[in-house]
Amino acid sequence: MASHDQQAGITQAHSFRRSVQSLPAIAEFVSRFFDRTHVHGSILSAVQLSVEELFSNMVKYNPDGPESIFLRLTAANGGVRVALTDHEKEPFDVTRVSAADTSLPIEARPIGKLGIHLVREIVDTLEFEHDDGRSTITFTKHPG
Amino acid sequence: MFEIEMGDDGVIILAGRLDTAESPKAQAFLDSVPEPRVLDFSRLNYISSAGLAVLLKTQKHLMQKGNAGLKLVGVNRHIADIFRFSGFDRIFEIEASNA
Repeated sequence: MASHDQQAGITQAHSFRRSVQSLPAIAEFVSRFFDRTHVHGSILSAVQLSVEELFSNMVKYNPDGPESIFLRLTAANGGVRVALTDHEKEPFDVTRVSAADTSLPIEARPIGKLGIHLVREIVDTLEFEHDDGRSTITFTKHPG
Repeated sequence: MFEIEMGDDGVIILAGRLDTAESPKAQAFLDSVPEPRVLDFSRLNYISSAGLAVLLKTQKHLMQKGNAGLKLVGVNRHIADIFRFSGFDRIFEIEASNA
């Protein structure tokens, strides 16, 4: 009988061109990983969104960085661990970004500044490390 | 892939994925409509913070002009969660999808 248990430990990685035009390919990469590893589809959109927000931030705030940004996905413990790595001179620690105030009335709401907030709401863990000019943001997401 | 168009009854229909790359297209379309009112999300399966910014900017503009705000209908469960996380459920009129 075919097993549909998650294939834990499987890792797939790819470098994507530093451009928001890479986003459809990134979404497809994540989707294919889920298909291959049987990570529960209920968290696919959440993972795709979190990857987009973090990737887009790297594109926007490190425009002079190398040509590509590295994305690694690992099936783990029923969910997925995601790592994005970029080379940047000045580390930008997303875990230290102050929370967005979502209770403000519309007149006081700033345009934008919701990307990291959404990631924090969605993912289970979020980590940042910077070493030898490379910044890596890692998050995990599990169903339920 | 993202599409936005005017339906026969004046409802604006969004379809596909409203991500960072597509948000300028969405903003340009909404800016071209004199008084957008109802946005049909039933064929939209994904929105990111860039898409939220488009909605917020449009809503602010409408309210500054004294118009009624946007009504978002057919919102799927994932997008409803995004609206809740961002507090948009307090500043927009939202109808969930029946699906």
